[in-house]
Amino acid sequence: MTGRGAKDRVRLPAGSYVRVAATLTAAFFLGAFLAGAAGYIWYEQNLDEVLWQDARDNAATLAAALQEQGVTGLWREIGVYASRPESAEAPVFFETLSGLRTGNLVLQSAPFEGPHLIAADGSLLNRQPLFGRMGVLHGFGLRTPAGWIIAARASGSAAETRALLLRVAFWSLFSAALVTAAMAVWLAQRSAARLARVDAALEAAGHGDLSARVEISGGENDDAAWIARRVNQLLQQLETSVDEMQQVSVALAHDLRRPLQSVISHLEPYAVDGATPDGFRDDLSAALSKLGDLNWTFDAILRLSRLESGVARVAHDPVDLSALARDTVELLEPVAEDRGQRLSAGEIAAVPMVPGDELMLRQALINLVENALQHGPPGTAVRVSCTFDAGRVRLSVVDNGPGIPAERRAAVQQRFVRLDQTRSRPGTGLGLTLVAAIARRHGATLELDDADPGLRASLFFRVG
Amino acid sequence: MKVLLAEDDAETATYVSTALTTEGYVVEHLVDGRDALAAATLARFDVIVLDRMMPGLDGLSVVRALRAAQVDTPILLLTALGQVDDRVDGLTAGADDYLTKPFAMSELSARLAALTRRPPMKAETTDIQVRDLHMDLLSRRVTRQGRQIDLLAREFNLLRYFMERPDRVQTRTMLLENVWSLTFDPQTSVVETHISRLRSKIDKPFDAPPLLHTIRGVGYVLGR
Repeated sequence: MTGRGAKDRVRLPAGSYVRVAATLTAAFFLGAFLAGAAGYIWYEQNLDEVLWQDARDNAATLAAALQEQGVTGLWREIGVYASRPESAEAPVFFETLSGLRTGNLVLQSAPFEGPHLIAADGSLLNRQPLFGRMGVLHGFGLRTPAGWIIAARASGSAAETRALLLRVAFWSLFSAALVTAAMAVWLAQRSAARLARVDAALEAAGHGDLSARVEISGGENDDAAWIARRVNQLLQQLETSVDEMQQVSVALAHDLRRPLQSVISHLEPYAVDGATPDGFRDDLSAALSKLGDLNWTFDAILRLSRLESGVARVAHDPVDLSALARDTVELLEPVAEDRGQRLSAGEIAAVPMVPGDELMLRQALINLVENALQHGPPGTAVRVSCTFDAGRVRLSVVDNGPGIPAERRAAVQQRFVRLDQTRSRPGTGLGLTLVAAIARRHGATLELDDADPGLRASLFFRVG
Repeated sequence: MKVLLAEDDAETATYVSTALTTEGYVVEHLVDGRDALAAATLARFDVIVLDRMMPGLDGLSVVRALRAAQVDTPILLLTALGQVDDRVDGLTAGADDYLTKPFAMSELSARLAALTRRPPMKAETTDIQVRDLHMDLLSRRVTRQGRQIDLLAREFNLLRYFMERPDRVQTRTMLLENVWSLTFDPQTSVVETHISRLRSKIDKPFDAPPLLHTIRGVGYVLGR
């Protein structure tokens, strides 16, 4: 498995597009409701105006008829009018000077002048009741020399119209809201999907695949497409500068190897020649050994850049990590003993095989154990274990040495970082970096924890 | 022994050529890959040292061509490309060994000696004897001067490796590669430690000349 395979996907917060959709719908609903409410209030006011005006006009008409036809004539007119069913909407009332009343407008009290609200039972009202507006009449009274005229307008049909309007408004609002909600969900989902694509590319790049790019969809002026293009640009720049850096370090390592070979070629014959005085031979051997260390560093640099740039081929064969753990203990146990330390095997369980490169994993584990041995004083105990837990194989090296302070654990995985700033002890600071790079290419994670005291370095491999 | 040295870097070529001649090899030096291919096909060499990157024809192609032409002379590839992938490529192409630059002449020499040895032991061999040291491969018993020696599994494997190659120097790198399958250099003194353990079991308790020798600056040898 290359490191680009099984990686933990970071999920975008699941509710985000639902939230966007809900907010849009609520905003629409609120806006429409406010507009509707304002419209309704205006309508009510207007309606009142119209009704009052109508009543006044009707009263004036009756007054004119009274003047033309006299009381008898008006009485007759009102009789004919009141017998018509549609007159219930605009009832009229006439009271003679002697107190005789006619008309289809019921009035309990004495007649009045000017505008007044009349209840269904004929009583006068000072203002519109909150409920039961249906029966309320807008009445207008006129006092003429021949008697009292009152014309009224019922808000009945108006009330029906009002109810109908409200119902219509509600249902249309409701269905509009549904459509808006559906659209909002669709749009938000689309947006989330595109964000997820950007996230996926950034995730892949974070894991070392700098060739990852975001798929662009949408036109020139599309926001999301613009962001995607910018991210791609950035990733391209990153890939280019990392490539350049790799090239530089590779060129350096190669170019430095030639003079190194030259020095070795010149010194080595004297180191193996029996004629060379012993003391001098020892010095030469020591010098050649240091040159070997230098070569190791170049090799490690090259190895690292090849791993990180993805150039190195990582095998996919099944690897038995338990056997690896046992082999490593067997290999390094005597080395620990000679240093006055102890290396042993902890819990080594039968674990599932893991796809990977055995040589690389061997190197990684040896690096971890050697790290523990080299940084601990005599008497340090180191334990290697291999267990299977919650779908992951855990390969760990625990020691009871000085450990790594929590705030330095991330830094030591970088190139050339040493805990000991004076760099007085041997080592280049590349060991852990290599382990981290190998882990990444296997889709595994390297975790450094406190073993209290000491360090627990674990490699977690996801299985299945 | 005739060795064909195909190396275009003058300094390396001089270094190797001089040393090999001193050891008794007859060295033919060429600088172009095509010439090397022609020479190896037409003449009979005991071993070929081939640089991987040469003008004319690169080392890997030369190896493939030679193998395709049924030339089975042992080939050692020499190169500045030292990564595991390159090694695998070289060995897959048909080379027998792979040495990266910079290298010590003693390393090259030890590996050439390994390549030019007599045919390896047959699979039916059941026991090995080197001087007064005896190893029974079936029962895994090791005795010296008749006395039994108790060895751990890893000590047994290391001893067996040496006993299968008596009197031939094994360098640190060769041991790391062949006994422990490690293609990189561990930081700690792994080889030295295992050698000294082995020594303490097969040499120290015995009142006889030691069998396992350290050749300073080069490696270890059993026997001489």
